[in-house]
Amino acid sequence: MNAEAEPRLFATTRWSLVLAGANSDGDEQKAAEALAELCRTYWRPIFSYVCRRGYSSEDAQDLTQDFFLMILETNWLQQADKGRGRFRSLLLKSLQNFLHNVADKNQTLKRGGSVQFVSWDAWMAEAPSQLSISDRALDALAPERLFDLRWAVTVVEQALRRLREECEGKGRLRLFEGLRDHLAAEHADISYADLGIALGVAEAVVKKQLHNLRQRYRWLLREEVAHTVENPADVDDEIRHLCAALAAAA
Amino acid sequence: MNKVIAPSDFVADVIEHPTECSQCGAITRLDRGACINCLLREGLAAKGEASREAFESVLAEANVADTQWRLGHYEILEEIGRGGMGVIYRARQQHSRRIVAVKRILAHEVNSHETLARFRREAEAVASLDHPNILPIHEVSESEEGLPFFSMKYATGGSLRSAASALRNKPRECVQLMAKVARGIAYAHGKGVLHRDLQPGNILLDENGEPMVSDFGLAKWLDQTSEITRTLETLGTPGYIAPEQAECRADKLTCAADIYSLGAILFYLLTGRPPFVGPNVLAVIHQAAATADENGCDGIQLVRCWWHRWSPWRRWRVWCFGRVNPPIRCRRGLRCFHLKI
Repeated sequence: MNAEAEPRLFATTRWSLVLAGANSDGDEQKAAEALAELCRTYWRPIFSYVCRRGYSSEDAQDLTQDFFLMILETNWLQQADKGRGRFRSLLLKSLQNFLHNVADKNQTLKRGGSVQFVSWDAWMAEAPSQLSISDRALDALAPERLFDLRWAVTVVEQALRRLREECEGKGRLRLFEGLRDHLAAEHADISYADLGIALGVAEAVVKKQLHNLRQRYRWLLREEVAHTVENPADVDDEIRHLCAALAAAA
Repeated sequence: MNKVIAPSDFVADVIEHPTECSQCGAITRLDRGACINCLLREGLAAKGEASREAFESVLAEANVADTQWRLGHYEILEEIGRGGMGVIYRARQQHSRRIVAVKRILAHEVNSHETLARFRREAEAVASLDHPNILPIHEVSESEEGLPFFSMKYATGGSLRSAASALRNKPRECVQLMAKVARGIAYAHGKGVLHRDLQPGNILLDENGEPMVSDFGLAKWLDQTSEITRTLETLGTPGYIAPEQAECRADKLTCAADIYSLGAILFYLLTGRPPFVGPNVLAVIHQAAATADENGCDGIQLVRCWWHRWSPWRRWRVWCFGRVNPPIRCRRGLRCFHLKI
């Protein structure tokens, strides 16, 4: 990826907006909206971590919502470690401290105020996710590793969801559905002839469209990751970190 | 294999028999079986910009507009499942506007005699059955491209696998639900059809939570011999198939094989896993065929011990009389397996 292109394209990532807002050199309203959007996207790793720490499903729901309430309604970023780094690692550190305080004080924040929570089922239904993993691997994962694993899944699912929406917006959902399972496949493993039969187009068309979808998917994936780092040059490193989390689940 | 978002689906779905990705060796998957690691690593392979405008421009060149997506007189809305030999869609019937599920054979399987035979057998088997706990087939047909397909009722409640964790602490509901499934299977047996692949993913739920048995892809007519080559793919689902299903000829199987699977599914609902698990398919099959140790079992384990140790004939006898003898109490005092069918 062209390093010069990335700063131009990713200069207004959500995390950079949040950090700019915290430093009082950015638009506070935009920073708040960016932070809310990040929380909306990455709630599942939070919830999974809380569950893995031994809380019941009901308690984990409450704690997840309380945690986001804390982030959105307080000066969370100002109080966080000055070496903020990436959104993922800062969020995890904050969550660990939050749960430690909850355990100590056995209290939850009062709900209400300016933050409106949708019903839990609606929240789950908004961005469905289905990670499949062997029970042995799941049981062996430490909470922090499960957090990173869920984060990796969220990044991939977000990119796929956006790609799907772009295809559907142009009336090409059928094309997306027919080719999505081959986005990461080796060329030798793809039967372009069979795909052509299924889609009713020539092989050459399948090859061109798959290449097109793949290019766009890669871009969307990098953009999703870039939204969570401060420096665009960190995108590759963040992807490698998430790959390592997946390797730990093997 | 209809999708459902279960409120309890919060950490991950457990794969009982994970297969390694052929490219990277990872075993974590998205719902459709895509390797998450490979999809993530695609981000490292990006070269240059891929703007939305350029993307959409190329996209528009493909003559595969959604408005043209039809199978017969069904308008395809979205893909909802994919198995070894077919793809399942949510679709809308053109004239009645009714929402249905449509299953078509995979394009690359069209030339496979074995796959075609399985596909047609499934359609024929279900088309002959009419029971509230068996997913009904509406129509069997062929697309303009020559792809066989059939339409069936769309189960809005998803599969039993997705609903299992919500049922875990409700043993009475589990038993009541499985009793309905058992009635459906008993009816199929009465019509001479053996399912041979009963597992939680093949039991779907309607909008009221009523179970319906689906996926008769491995179904067998009890009075016919099977010419289909038996491979691991045609054995059934490890963890839920009867020991004799792995050992004997397909044409020697009886209703007792399905009865075993029903017990294994109930075990799964109550405990969260099938009676036998192992690092690979063959290990699970061999474990099920081996002798279990009954000593020191609690109620759930004892159910497992009996059910698998019982001969096919004994399972059939219990099935016919609808009662377990003697009744068993587990440590919690829960009366297990006092089913009346």
